[in-house]
Amino acid sequence: MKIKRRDFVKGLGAAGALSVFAAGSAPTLKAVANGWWAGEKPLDRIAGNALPPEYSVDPATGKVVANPDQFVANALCNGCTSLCGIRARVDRTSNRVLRVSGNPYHPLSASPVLPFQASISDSFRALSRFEESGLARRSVACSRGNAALDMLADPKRVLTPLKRVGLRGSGKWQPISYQQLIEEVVEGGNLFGDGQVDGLRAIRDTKTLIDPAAPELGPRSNQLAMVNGYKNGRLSFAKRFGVLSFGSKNFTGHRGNCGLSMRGGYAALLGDWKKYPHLKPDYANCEYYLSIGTAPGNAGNPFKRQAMLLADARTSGRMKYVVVDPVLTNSDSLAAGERSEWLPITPGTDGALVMGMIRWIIETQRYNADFLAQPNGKAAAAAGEPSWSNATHLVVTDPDSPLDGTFLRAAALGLGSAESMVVIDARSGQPLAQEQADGPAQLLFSGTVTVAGQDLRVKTSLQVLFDEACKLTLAEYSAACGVPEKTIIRLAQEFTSYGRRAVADTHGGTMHSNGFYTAYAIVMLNALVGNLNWKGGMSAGGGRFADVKPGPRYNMVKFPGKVKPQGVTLSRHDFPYEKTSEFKRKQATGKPYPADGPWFPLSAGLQPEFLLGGLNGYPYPLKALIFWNTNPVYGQSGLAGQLDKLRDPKRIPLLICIDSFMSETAAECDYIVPDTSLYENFASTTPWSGTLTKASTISWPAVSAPQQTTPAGDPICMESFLIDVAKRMKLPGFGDKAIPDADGKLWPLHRPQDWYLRLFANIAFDGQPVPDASDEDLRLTGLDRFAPQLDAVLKPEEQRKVGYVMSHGGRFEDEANSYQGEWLKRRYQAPLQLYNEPLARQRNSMTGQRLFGSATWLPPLFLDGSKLSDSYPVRQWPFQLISTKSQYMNSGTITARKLRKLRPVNEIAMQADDARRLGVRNGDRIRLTTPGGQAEGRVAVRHGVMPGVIAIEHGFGHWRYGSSAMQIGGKTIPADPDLAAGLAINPLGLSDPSRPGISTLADFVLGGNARNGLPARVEKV
Amino acid sequence: MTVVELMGTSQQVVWGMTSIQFFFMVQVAAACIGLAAAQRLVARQALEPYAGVGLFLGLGLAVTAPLNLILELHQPLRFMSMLYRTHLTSPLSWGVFILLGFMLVSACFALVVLREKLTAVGPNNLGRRASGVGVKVLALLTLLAAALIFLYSSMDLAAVKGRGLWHSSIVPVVFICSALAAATGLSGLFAMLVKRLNQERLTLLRGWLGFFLTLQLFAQVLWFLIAFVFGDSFGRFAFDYILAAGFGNFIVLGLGGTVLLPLVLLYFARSSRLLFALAALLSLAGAYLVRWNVIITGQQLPRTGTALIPFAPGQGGLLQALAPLALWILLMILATWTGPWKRLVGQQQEG
Repeated sequence: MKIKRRDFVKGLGAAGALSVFAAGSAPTLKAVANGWWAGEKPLDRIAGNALPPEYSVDPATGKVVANPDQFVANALCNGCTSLCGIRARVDRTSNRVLRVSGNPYHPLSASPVLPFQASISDSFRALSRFEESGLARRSVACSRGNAALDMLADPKRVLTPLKRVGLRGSGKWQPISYQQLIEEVVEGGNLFGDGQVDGLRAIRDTKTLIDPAAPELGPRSNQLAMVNGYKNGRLSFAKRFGVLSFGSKNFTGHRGNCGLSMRGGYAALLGDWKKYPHLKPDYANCEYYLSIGTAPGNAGNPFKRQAMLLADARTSGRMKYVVVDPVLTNSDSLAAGERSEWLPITPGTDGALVMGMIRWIIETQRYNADFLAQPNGKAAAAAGEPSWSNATHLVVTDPDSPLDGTFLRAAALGLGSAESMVVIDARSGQPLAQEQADGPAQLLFSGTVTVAGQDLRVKTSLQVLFDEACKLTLAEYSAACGVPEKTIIRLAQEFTSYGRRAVADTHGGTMHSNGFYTAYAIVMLNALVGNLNWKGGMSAGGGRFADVKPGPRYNMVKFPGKVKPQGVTLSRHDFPYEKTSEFKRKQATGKPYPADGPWFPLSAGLQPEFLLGGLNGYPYPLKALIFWNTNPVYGQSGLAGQLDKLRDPKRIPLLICIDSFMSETAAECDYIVPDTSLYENFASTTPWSGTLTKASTISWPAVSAPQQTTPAGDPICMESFLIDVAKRMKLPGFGDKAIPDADGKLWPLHRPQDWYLRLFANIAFDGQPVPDASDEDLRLTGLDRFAPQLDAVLKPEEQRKVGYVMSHGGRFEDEANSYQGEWLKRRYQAPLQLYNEPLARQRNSMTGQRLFGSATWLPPLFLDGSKLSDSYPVRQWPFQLISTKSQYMNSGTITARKLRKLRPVNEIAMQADDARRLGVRNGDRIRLTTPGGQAEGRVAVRHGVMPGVIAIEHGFGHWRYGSSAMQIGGKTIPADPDLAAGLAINPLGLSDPSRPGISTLADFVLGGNARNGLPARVEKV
Repeated sequence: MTVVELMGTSQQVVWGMTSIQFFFMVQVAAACIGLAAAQRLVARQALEPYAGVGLFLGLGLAVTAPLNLILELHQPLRFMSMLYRTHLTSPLSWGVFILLGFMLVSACFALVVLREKLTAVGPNNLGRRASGVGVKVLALLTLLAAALIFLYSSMDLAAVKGRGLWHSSIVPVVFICSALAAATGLSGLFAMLVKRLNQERLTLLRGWLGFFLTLQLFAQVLWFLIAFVFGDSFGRFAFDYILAAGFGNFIVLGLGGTVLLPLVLLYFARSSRLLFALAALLSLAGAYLVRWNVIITGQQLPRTGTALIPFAPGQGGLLQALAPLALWILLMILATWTGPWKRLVGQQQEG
């Protein structure tokens, strides 16, 4: 047969086309073939091998049919500090969490939430497509929350107690038995072959003073410190051991390395230096949101709720928000058009911007006089105000008077009690006892009053603030912060144009050495518009149901033999230097200042100074330190460069870390105690003021932890370890008679559930008790497996109610209770402090200078008051490094494989003009040099960065967690370079040469770790 | 209506090669079939070149274009499931019905035309007779279905606010004009390959190609002006990109190489098949390029930062995208081996 040339060419073409088609379609064809012909039929024809659903709903009747192989645990996510309520799908057979979404009852995960009264099957129905309801009640988990699941089954988890072999930090470990761990930690001995180490039994002495010459330091039991992480719902248990039972003053969370400046600013404004309350915007109703040093939905807390409500508000067109940040983050959205704005600023100068705004607001009388002029609660109520302030109270501003800086008391003028302040009555113009005023008082006043025959200069609090703001012109503020003068004015104008529905908030971006005053100035803006307790204004949060605090069923903080710790904390917080023996000794020499180390009498949760105090042995030596749920070696700016000090056993002889992973901190310790991870433990916590109604989030072990168990059968974790240590030491509050009920009968504390289930009972019975859980509620949420524990620990009448709270993932007040007309229903009661007298009474322990009592602008300083910029001039250090919040990673999630796939390496962002000037292109390697260290990384060139700033995404650049090799029991575990990806900013952090001993740069008022605005040089590698 | 925004999602190019391929194939199919249907509806001699060849090519493209979506979903049943799992608020859900409706109506239309050609008179009379009302209604429906294809597949992009290069009402117009030009170029090239491009057809196709390319030129200039010069800040940022790093793709090639150059070639192609073929090829490349520029570059433009988000299709992605095109070529070759084909597209030209 003769083939035509044309047909031959067409045949070749057809064969080629067929080949390309076959090659390109092969993966799809293979998938189809696998299902249908290859004997590997997928689970579902369409969904393939996707997870079988946890339940199905009959579209006609709404009947819920549960998947018998799975259950759904409403639990708590610890992927970040937001602590969202989530919904974990668990495979009953494999004991694995399959997937995570949001708890529909939880206000941080859903908006609107499902009513708490709804049964579990109701929640299933509501989330389904039945009657098209699924989207309305949609409840989500974020990418990090979902990907963090990987950490549960990570092969690098610590599953057995480890003891160091050789030197600290050498990376060599030997697994030891749980019994050996308890014995060595409690009894001590020559544990590492290099001399005697005191165990906890020897350290616990609640009677003998550490230093009889300095009795204020307290007893020897203070020589144990517990350094912990954030309030993840388990902190109160650790505190029971360390503080109430062991008797140490040295117990802290992580605030000093996180957002202490912000918390301090709010503490000053809200006038509470003990509880450190703070405010959050009513996100759903505010109309102007000024976010400084944080980026809603990208940083700050609660991330997810902020993101949901912010997206909703700006989409609906009600809200405008401005993010003041050296770096443009994902908070800004082009899709939101003019309703979102990014305002770049020089790091550490937010205070200048805000003081400029304050000056303009007061000068132009754009403040809310109706609110500020009310001198007491009675007058405020009469004026229809839900809160009041001390703006009208007179402050003595006479440097020659011993009363300088204090409020003038009514008793001094013979006008009233010694507690009452003095105001200038608006009607008569005469001084009046503040407590007696029944109407507004003068807001701006500067004059003299006669006290005991002497004239005293006085000003109202608002006048003090105004005069302070007027120390610089707007042009000078503008020059300091890099924000144009007209923008400062426009911002102030906008902020004061939305009535009570304008809010200003801040967070960790203020962690500079001038952070406290910056934060105080920022939150002061809220006082000027009087938005506290107003719908769309600022809220102190809805609070929580009674759990640890004395509850209706059990008293979790009282027990026979409970210790009231005495003395000074190692961090020198909440105790003034002027009351110490050191001060008296030095005063006798005529030179009381500087102290041998800084003191921070108004601070709280000052984690960095616990470590520095321990390493310096100041004010007293530390003998043992337990880390739990924290990683300060990675997280404390400037510490990593001084690891040789931590590795010296003479400084702190015993270091114990309770952690699920070999973190940078764990790797420097003597012992590592395994801990449970998310979804494996009990917990009870609450959102951080981010909700307007009461909310208590709880968690319980939805899956079993993989590590070794204790003789009682519990996984080795913080709770079981501390219980067994306490029992061996026969400490009060643990063992047979530990927890009193409402009748005073004592109940045992042998296992974690003995504590947490009773705590849940308190939640269940607080106020109107919750309903009983049905069998179906328990079955659908996997609590049927828990029945024996509920039965063994709780009283019969408590079991079903605790089951109800556990099945719902906590207890949540009806959101309808958020508002009372235009006011918030749950309101902060104390007055706002435009002038904070306790602050004004304190002195800088390094200089002796008194602190200023209101908001002010100061550039970043060392503790001796000298400017950072004097030591590190711009011409030598032309860049500033700042850390930015990663949406994916935090300091402890690098082991989550899925997260690394989403974000394999961090961004080191440089401004485009800076890059051009240095000849740096996107993706080039650069070397960053600070006075604290040096590091290299790949640069991302962006427009969205303030010139002169390098922004480093936090959470990468690890040197432990398996990123370096280690030996366990003689077996070498090789390094995984993926875990070391990127660059960490904190090893580049600074120390403070103006203070003696080992130091990291700190806020000079509160001691918070200054981790932003690091002077730096940049070179292309 | 509640609009839900996703905040903080990672930035990457999600719609890759198969997406461009789908948009290209389905829109050129709609243009071919739409022009064929228009010819039947108005019975204009000027549209005659589309009546047979255009319909034939368009039908092949319409049948193979959805394969892009199926390959991207990796499972044909997932595509099929969208038929019974409807979401009335989702444009993608509507798209499945529009796509299948278009295929069905086009197939019916082609069948009617084909039957007419096979059973009736000489092939040279193709399309010149006024047909019955039923055929005209079918042609109208086909034209409507083709218009819906443009509407759905263009508005899919234009409705996305967050992407400066997508979010413009002119983008659908650019797509329509470039698809019409590509359909004309493809018809001419194919007619040339199968030796059905006589002088009369060449003249007609040359005129149409010039007309559609001119429209495309105006549409693209209008797009730049309206979307970027008078647009928001992101639009201006996109314009900055086009004038700088994107100058080659958007201006040199996108306007110069694939619109102005073919217009010049057409001017001189009065009787030159070679110049016409070059112009036709460039118009096809232009239609592909404009989709690449809009779809891929539109995703590459960063929302923060100065660097484009990287995109590399990779060998797998490239092969996957070429597979539907290869299938179309295969179908075309197979069809040219069949007897009815000759009667549908007419006798081979002489010489």
